[in-house]
Amino acid sequence: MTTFKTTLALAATALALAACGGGGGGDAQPAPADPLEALPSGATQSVSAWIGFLETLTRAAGADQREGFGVSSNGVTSVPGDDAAEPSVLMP
Amino acid sequence: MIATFKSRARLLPVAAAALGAVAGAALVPDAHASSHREAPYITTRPKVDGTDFYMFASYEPNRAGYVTLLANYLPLQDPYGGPNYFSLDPSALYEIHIDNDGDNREDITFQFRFRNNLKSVALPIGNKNVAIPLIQAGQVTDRNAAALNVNESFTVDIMRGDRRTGSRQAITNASGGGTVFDKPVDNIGTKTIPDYGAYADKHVYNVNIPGCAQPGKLFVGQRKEPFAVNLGTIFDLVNAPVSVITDPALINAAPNTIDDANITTLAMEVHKSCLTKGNEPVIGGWTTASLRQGSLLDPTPRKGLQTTEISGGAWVQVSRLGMPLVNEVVIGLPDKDRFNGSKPKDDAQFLDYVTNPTLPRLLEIALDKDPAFGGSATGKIAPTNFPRTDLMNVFLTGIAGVNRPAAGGGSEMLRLNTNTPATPEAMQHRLGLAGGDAAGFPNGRRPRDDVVDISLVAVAGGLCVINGDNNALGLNSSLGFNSACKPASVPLGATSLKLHDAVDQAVIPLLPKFPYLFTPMPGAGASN
Repeated sequence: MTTFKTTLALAATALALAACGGGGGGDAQPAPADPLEALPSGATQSVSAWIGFLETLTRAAGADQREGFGVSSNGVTSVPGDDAAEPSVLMP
Repeated sequence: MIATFKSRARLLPVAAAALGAVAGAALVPDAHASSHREAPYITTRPKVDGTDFYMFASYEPNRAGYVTLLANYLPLQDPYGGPNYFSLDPSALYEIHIDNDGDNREDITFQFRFRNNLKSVALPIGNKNVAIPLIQAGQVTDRNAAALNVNESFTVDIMRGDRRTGSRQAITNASGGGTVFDKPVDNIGTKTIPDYGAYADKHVYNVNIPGCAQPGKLFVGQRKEPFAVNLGTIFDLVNAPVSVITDPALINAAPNTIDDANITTLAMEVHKSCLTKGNEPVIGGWTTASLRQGSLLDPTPRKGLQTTEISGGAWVQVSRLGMPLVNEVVIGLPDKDRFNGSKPKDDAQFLDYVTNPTLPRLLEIALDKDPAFGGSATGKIAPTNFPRTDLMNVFLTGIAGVNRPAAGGGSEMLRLNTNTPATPEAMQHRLGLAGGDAAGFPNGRRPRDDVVDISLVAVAGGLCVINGDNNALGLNSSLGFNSACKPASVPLGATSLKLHDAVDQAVIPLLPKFPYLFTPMPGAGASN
């Protein structure tokens, strides 16, 4: 799995962000120990937290043995986006 | 809640004979696109869009006892779709599931993973080597030919038990024991691949399947779209007169609008002893595709193939297909994406769509002004036996005495009684069971089965006409529900047995052997 340089990934775009407006700002809550278990509410409060969570998720080990967790079941129907900034480079 | 299981051996010939008798009297014909771009989300991810699933007793000579599984993906491929053509998604998981004990959960899963290998073919231009922009740089006749700039390969694992946490073993090449198989490049054209049939044949593998006494066969590659369908007319409020779509003489009156399209097929042939459990001869099958839950887009992709998107996380199922047409015209639009993500064991959430289907009423709306109905079709097409136990038998449990497992079923999947001998190709009835051919749809599904016409007949109540007033097929009940599945509940009466879509499935060419689906249309040059 490709590794990312966290600081540069913070502003990268994520798939499925298109439906969201606003975003940015806010303090990110720490991602859960196992990102395969659930979407932490804090991850949806800012672009940086969301990208940080995705970065952790995409690198999680043991994914082949898991089904994805439900996202909308805990009330999440959108995640923040940033209409102004261009994303930074994802570095291997 | 489970309907009483009756003697399969006793009832199978009765059911087939009863259905066949009616077919001989009236049944008519034709077919459609089963699940092409059928749900909102999957239209955005064609590489993981499952379009059709087939499961049948192999009818190739000398293959008695084998079951063929075909899962089609990536719909409506224009043969000339270069320069990249139609590779599968290397970040996706393609699966074929088998439930062999009727508990609506997978017991065996075949998992396909793909890899696109870029060879970085470069040409000396002046004093520099420069990478070429094409996927081939010359003629291609062999596996992983030197002229291929991109070679697609794949692995197949067999999972026993839960598809994620069960026991995983790799399927191996019977020749040499390798676990990586080559997929033929798409049919670019006859100058690049002069004999595509021979080239593709080199990608049919004899394989050893862990836990199976007999070797199987394996092929993944492009094929000619095996459906015949008049898509535009169907979705344009059935833009055809009733007098045409109920006239047996006009089953081939309309052109097949996807006659020049290709598809990508995942094909396996496995001995039935490897798929069944104990004394239960009925297996249920379906195909799914899953993507990683998380993905990131890189604004400056690395050199390579498909490096813009980086994905990871657990698998999220985004496509599901067992019985044809279910998510296309049965499941309501708000639930289509949900259905694609669902598992058969949870199908109770979709029950209303089967017990109270909208399609018959939609046909009334679409055909309301047709002269055949004297100005209004309301009440003249949709059967009135609710809940529709006839459809529940076909789509959710299997038909008693034909393809219902002893445990009763109760979910949407394609069911095959592996004890039913294959019907030789020349003797197959395109209406399957309804035509008296016990080895045809809905007892499994073969490429020749005209599932659209069969399904049109079914939703219009044709099975209740056949069921008669004496409940000859036992369609009056299902999963604890009862209905009056009899001719009086069918406004169209015997005309329901004549419905067709005016496109003849029989015109589709097929191969007489595994993988059965025909050589794909070439991007240039004459077809094989």
